[in-house]
Amino acid sequence: MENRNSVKTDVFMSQAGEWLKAAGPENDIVISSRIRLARNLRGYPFTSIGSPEKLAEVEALISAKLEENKIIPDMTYLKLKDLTQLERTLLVERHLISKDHAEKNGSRALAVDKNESLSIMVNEEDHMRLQILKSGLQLTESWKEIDELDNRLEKELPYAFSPQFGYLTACPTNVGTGMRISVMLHLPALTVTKQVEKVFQSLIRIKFIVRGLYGEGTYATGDFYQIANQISLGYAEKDIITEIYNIIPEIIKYERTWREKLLADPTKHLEDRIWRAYGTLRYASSITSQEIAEFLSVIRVGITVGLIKDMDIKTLNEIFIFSQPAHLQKMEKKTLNAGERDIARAKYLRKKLVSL
Amino acid sequence: MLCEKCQKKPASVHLSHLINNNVVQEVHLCKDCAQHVTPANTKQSLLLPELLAGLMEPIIGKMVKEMGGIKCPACGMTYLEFKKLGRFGCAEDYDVFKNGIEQLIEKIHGTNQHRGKIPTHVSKTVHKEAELKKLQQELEQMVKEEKFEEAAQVRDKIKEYKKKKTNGKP
Repeated sequence: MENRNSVKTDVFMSQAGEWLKAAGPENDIVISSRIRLARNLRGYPFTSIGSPEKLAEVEALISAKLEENKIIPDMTYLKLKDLTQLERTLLVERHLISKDHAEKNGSRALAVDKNESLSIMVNEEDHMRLQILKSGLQLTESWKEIDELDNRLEKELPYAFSPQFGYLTACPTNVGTGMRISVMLHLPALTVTKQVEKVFQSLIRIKFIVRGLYGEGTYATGDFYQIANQISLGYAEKDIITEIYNIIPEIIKYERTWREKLLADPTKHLEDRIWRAYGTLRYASSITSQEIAEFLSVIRVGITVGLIKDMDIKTLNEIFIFSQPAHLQKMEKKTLNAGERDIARAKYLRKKLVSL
Repeated sequence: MLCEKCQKKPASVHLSHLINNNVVQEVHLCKDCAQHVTPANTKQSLLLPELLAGLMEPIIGKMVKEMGGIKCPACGMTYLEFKKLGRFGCAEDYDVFKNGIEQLIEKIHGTNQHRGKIPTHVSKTVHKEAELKKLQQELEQMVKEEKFEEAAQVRDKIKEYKKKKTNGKP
């Protein structure tokens, strides 16, 4: 087990991000709203080709400006090379860094606020990837906050910008606004009735992309999906947000209708599935990650339709995050193989749910 | 443990989806069901870089003759390297490779003119020019749609803008 500097991420074990509190609008279906802005510094090579010295210079410059000017309130700043592989995975599970950021070496860093709401990945594909993460459907509020963060940074750092192409990014798919909005949705009824394919096909036609839980290249687990804009150039940020706001309520309505239909149909055994999942979650002595994704998905439905009353979405969200492999290993303070993790997962659940 | 798919036969095949050698998802299947499974990675939707390569090939192929010898003086990246990687080496590349990327960017985004936020450090003239360009595009669109009344209003705004510019006031 790598124990080097493992205290650096201890803070993440005693708290959960603000976005998990399920306080946002439409939180029965919309898990979170996220906006990401890609920004680069003028006069420096992009991360993929920059020499280690140049990238260290970029990282030092950004971290100095962040510290000096208190750009992020109550900031934690983590250099990834000071972290163990397990700690990096923990940050991926936390939705604070990408898999790519966790896996690659070099002068990479993460700056994050106390609420795990505002964060910046330093030297990912772009010099800075600003992120805001909020509970439920809160894109207008999210835009306001990330726009202000961007303004604070812009005063201190020379952004690479062209009047024609906008904010210049390493990949031409991000150029322009540098903005990627993603809304995480829980769509179990549309998934089981295979309606989800139809929804996605129509989304793709209007240039939106659908991804799994951890962004690009992942597949949907436990009926959770991320919907994101594909186009970043040619529209004002607010117009892209409006466009998403026009689509999401339609999907929410569709999901709610199908949930009611499923619950009303005794041949679908949805209520039985909910209680079975609930029982297993409370009393099993070993649970795989695949199982827990499925259980949490049906229990979430059980809570939102009012069947399960002694568990809330906040608890469910916390379980979702803390029952992931790196979180369990951090909790147990040792490396666990898959089978050992299944046991640790069940142990965590029994402890977490005993008070209910 | 029973097979997760058929729930009948015992699971003897155990598939893991790995991130940093940490299993993030495990699937337990019987021999029969496992044969029908495509690995998680092949089931994924197309990744952006792959999508990009598909878009770039026909466009950039044509440009290679014209642009092949061009190299960015700032980062040293050549147009051919950009074609291969699908990533720019530095912000200057956008300018250096401009003729070779406008079509590509238009293919990706449907346009190659930014209409979003502009940083305040960018000089005020750039602000103004961008605003002017936006208004002119609006005007063209309105004329096309025969919305002449709105078009007249935009035309007046453009006039106003140009007047201010010559006065040197914001």
